[in-house]
Amino acid sequence: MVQPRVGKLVLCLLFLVTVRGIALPQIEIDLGFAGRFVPERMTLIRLTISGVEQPFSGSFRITEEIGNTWRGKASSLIEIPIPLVSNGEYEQLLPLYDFTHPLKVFLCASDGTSVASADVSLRDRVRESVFPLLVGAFPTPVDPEAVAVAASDLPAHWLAYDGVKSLWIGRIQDGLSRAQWEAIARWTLAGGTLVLFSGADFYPLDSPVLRELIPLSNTSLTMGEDGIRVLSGKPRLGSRSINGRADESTLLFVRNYGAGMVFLIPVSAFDLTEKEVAAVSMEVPPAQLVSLSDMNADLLEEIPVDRPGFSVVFLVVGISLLSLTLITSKVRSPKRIVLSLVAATGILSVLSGLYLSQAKLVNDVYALETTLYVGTSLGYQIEWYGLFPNRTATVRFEGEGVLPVMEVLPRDMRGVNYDVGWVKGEGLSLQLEHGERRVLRWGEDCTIPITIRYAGDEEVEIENRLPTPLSEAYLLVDGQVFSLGEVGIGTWSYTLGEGVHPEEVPSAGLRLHDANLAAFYNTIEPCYSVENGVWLIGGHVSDTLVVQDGVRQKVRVVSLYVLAGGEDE
Amino acid sequence: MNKGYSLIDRESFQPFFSLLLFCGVALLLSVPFADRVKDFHAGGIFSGIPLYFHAQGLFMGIFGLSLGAMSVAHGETGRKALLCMGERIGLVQFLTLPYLFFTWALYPSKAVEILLIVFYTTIVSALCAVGSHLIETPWTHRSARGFLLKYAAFTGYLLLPFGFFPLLSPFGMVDALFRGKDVGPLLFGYLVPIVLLLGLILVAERIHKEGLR
Repeated sequence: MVQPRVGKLVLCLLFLVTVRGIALPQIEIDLGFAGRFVPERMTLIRLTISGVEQPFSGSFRITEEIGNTWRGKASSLIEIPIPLVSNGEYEQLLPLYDFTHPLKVFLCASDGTSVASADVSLRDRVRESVFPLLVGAFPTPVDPEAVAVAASDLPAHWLAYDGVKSLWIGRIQDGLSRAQWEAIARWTLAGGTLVLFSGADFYPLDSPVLRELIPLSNTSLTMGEDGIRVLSGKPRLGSRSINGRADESTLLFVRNYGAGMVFLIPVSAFDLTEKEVAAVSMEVPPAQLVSLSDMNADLLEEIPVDRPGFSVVFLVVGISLLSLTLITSKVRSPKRIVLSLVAATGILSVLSGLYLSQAKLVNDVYALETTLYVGTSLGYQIEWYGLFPNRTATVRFEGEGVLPVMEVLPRDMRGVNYDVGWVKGEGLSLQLEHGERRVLRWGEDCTIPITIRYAGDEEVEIENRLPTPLSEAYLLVDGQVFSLGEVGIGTWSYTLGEGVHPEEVPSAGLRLHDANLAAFYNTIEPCYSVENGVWLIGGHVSDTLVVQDGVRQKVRVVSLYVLAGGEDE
Repeated sequence: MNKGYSLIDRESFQPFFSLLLFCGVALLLSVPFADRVKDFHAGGIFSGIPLYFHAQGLFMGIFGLSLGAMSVAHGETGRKALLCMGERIGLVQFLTLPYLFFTWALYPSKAVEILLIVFYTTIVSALCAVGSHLIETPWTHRSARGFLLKYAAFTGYLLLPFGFFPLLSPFGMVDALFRGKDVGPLLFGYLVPIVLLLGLILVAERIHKEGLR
C-alpha cells in the first residue's frame, strides 16, 4: 500500500523539479566582435535573458579571474543593477583583462541570490593584438586577420572599438544608425583608423556625421568612362589623395581627423581589383588611441607632498627641551616651575596649531586626474587616474558613470592586491596598500561647453561655460598661434593682431607655461593635427582636498581642452 | 624643604627630559622625508610605521618606571605617592602637547586614534609607575636587583605578548589602535592594564597600611 504512494510522491517531486527547471531564467553571452576580443581593452558584452516569467528587480554580476601563480592573481567584479529584469538583450561595455579563466555572469535577485548563471571560455576567443574589423560586403578578403560583423552588430559607443586595428566599411544596404556613426566618428577622433568605400555604395551610407568625417566636401557621384560610379568633391584642407588605380586615377583620399585618420576610397569595393584592395590595405596604418599613461605616471610623481617642515619640528622639539631645562634650573619654587612649564607648553602648542594649516597636513592618498577633452561637432573625453597611497586606505570613486573604469594592470601583480570592483551608478572601490602605484583609465562622450565664434575677420568670440576659467589658452588659426592668456567664465571677445599678437613660434612649438599642461600638450600634440582651421587649446590645473570615509586625498586635476572652432573650406 | 610636594625640580627633571627628547626624535623621524611623491621611492625606513606612537608607548613606560623610583626616593607613600605619580604623568603628557599637534598633522584622519593612544600610554605609564614603586619600596627589593627586575618585567611586558596576544603589549596595542582593529580586542587591550593597575594600587595600599601598623 505504501510503495505506490511513495512512487507518486517521487513523481510529483520530479515533476515540480522539472517545471522549476524549465522556469529558471537562462543567460546567453555574446562578447566582442563576432566573439573576438583583445585582453586589457574595453569589450562589448551582450547578455540575452530568456525564461523569465515575472519581471523582477535584480542585477548582473560579471566576474573575471585575472592572472596566474607566476604573474600574480587579481579579480574583477562588475555589478549592473537592472530595475526590471525581463526577457531580452542587455548590453554593457566592460574591461576584459585576461583570457586564462572563463568569464562568469550571474543574474541575481534583489537580495543578491543568484537565479541564473553562465560562463564563457575566453581562451578560444582571444586575439592577442588588435584586428581589422570589416562591416558590410567585400568582394575579396581584405586581411586574413580581419573579423567581419553585420552592420547591426556595430556598437554605439566609441570605446567598444578599443580592440579594433582599423574599421573597414564596405557595401551596407541599410546604412548605419546615427548613434553608430557618432561612435565611429568619436573613435576616429580619438585615434581610430576608418576606411570607407563609397562610389555606388555611398548613398546607403550617407549621413551628416559621415559627411563631416570624409576628406571631401560638396560631394557628388559621377559616372566614370569605365561606367564605374565615382565619388567626387572638394578636398578638405590638409587632406591628400593617392593615385594607385590601374587607370592612374585616385585610389583613395586621406584625411587626419582628430588623432585618427579617415581613408575614403571614391569607388565601391566591388569596383576595385584585388590588387587595388591590397594597395589600399598597404596604406592603412593601425589605430593608435591616445594614451595618457606615461604622462600621468610622470606627473603623479611630481605632486608636492604636504607636510610640516623639518626645521619647524626641530625647532619645536628644541624649544620644548630648552624651556624644560631652563625652567627647572632657573626657577626655584616648585609651583612656579609647574606654572612656567604649563605656560611655555601652552604658548608653544598655540603657535604649533597656528602653523599647522591644511597645507601642512600629510595626506593619505595622492591622486592625479588627467583629462583630455576633444571636441569638433562631436566630443569625447579620456581620463587617467594615478594613485599613490601614503598609507593603507580604501578609496571610492563615486559617480553616475555608465561605463566601468578600467584598471591598468602591470605584468607582475605579485604582492599587491589589484582586485577591482565596480557597481554601475555607484562607482569603484579600491583597496590601496602603502607605497604602491595604481592606474585607472576611463572614457566617455562629452560636449565641451565652450563655443568659438570666428567671423574670419580677425574677430573671435569665446564663450566659456565651464565651471572654472581656463588658466591659459591659445587660439590657432591655420597654424598661427595667438595667446589668449586666461579665459574666464563667460563670453570674451578678441581682436587677433590687436592686443592678441601671434606668437613667433609655429603651432608645433606651442608651449604652455604651466609645467603640467605643457607636459600634457607635448604628449598629445603629435597625435592631433591642428595646422588647419581654428582651434582652441587651453587647460587648467587645480589641487583639491577630498576627505572621504576618513581618507584624505590630495587630488591634482589637470585638464586639457582641444576644441575645433570651424574650418576654412 | 619637603621634596615630596615637588612635581619636578632640578634633580628630578631627567625622566621628563628623556621622554621629551626621545619622543621629539621619533617625531622628527616620523615626518616624511619626501618633498614630492617620487621621493617616496627612497622613502623613510619608518614610512608606514606609526613610529611616534611606538616611541610614546615605550618611553611613557620607562617614564613610569623612573617615577616609581623617584616617588620612593622622595619618600612618597600611600595615596600621596599615587597622586604625585598621577600628577607627574599628567604633566609629562601635557608637555608633549606640541608634539601631539604635529603628530595630528602627520595623521590628520586619526585624531580619535591619537587621543585613544594618549589615554592608553597614560594607563601604561601609571601601571609601570605603581609597579616600579612596589618593587622599589623597602618592603620588597631595595637594590640593583630591583632596577633589573623592573626593567626585565617591562621588557617582558613589551615583547612576550607578541607570542600569544599582541594587544597585551603596548607596542601591539598602539599599533592596533592606530590601524583601527575590532572594538572587542581593543577593549580587552585596555581592560588588562587597567585591571592590573587597580590590582597594583590595592597591593600598594595594603602594603602602606601594613607599614603604618
